[in-house]
Amino acid sequence: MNSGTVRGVSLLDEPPPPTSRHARGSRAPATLSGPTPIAVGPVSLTTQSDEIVHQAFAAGDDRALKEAYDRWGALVHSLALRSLGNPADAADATQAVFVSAWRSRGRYDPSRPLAAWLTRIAQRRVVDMHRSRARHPEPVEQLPETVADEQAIEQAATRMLLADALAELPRERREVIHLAIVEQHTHAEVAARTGLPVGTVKSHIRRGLKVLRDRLAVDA
Amino acid sequence: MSTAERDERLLQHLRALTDEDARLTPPPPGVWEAIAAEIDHDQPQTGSPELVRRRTDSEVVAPIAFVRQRRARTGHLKWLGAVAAALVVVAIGLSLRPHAIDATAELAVLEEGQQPAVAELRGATLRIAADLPPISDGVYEVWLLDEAVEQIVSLGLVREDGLYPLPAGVDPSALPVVDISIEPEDGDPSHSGRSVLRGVFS
Repeated sequence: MNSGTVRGVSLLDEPPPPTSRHARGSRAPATLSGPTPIAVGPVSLTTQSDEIVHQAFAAGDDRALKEAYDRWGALVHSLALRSLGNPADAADATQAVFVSAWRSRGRYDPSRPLAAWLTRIAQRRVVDMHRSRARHPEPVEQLPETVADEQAIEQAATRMLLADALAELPRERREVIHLAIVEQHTHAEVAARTGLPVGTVKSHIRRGLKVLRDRLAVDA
Repeated sequence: MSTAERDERLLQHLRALTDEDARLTPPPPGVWEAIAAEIDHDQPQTGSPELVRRRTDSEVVAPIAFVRQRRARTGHLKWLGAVAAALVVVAIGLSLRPHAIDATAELAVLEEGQQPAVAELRGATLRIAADLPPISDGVYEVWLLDEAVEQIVSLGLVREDGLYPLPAGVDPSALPVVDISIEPEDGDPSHSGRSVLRGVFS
């Protein structure tokens, strides 16, 4: 959401806004019997925004599960692989995460990012698998290097979620975020390096951070 | 956690990013099939497919695709099954009942070359049926604002499906004006002042 002031003169100055309908006061919704049919139809979800996929998932549309898998399966799998180290376990964990997410979709709030919710489920799953490993240690001399500590898993998950969201930003905005936040250059330095006006740099940072912040928002 | 703490945490995580965090390994083949097979074993949902389809045609979210065949039932359990099925049908019907249209705005033309359009609010989703001509000097963006133009919220760029979920916390009754503008791609997130269509919810 971009709140803020409107550039320049009042939007309502000219031409005049169509306030006549409003002046008539509120009317019952039922009176709209369709001057314009709206074609929505059974559209493919692959071209839809994340928000539409979130809503379809919460509504129980099973195509949304496949779409979620296509969009975030690699993220879930990579987190599991990184933490568990074993490809077979990572595949099992990925399967379990999506099955569990689907079965508990009634608890999913579609106004929050599905990627973060899936990642949260994946973290729990991975932690559980580490615990069960601890009870039944594998007779393997050299397990690959893994992230086993619960807090480390959470931090890795958050960073992977952020890296994923960063990759989806438009190139220019991603570059500005990288220079200003990750490498901690000043706005003026970022402007000089990118050739963008300082105002644009600031707006890229503001908008980019908002996207990233929203992406992590699992809790209210 | 406060906003400031969350922001500080976000910055810390960003500064800690490594190349490994961005390395994605897709799941091996077969995982999706295993998920689909496991889901498929879940208790089938009974209900009238016709009812579900008809209702969902006007739903914001696309049709439900997991309606399955009823199981065959035998003997005296038949009527029990029928009662249960009827209850499920009612439950599904209630849960899938589409949001009624809460408000409508007829969008008037503010710039030559545009066609009048209609915006409908259903629950927390705005639908806009607009036939916008292609432009080369910017992009179309959808906004909600109040009549005093003190508050304005972007619903994002114009989308082909015409569906705009309202961001959390946005109260359409406080922002009754629907506005479509042309925004130059100058990196400035604020409204350009160049509105091409506008209407007020009634």
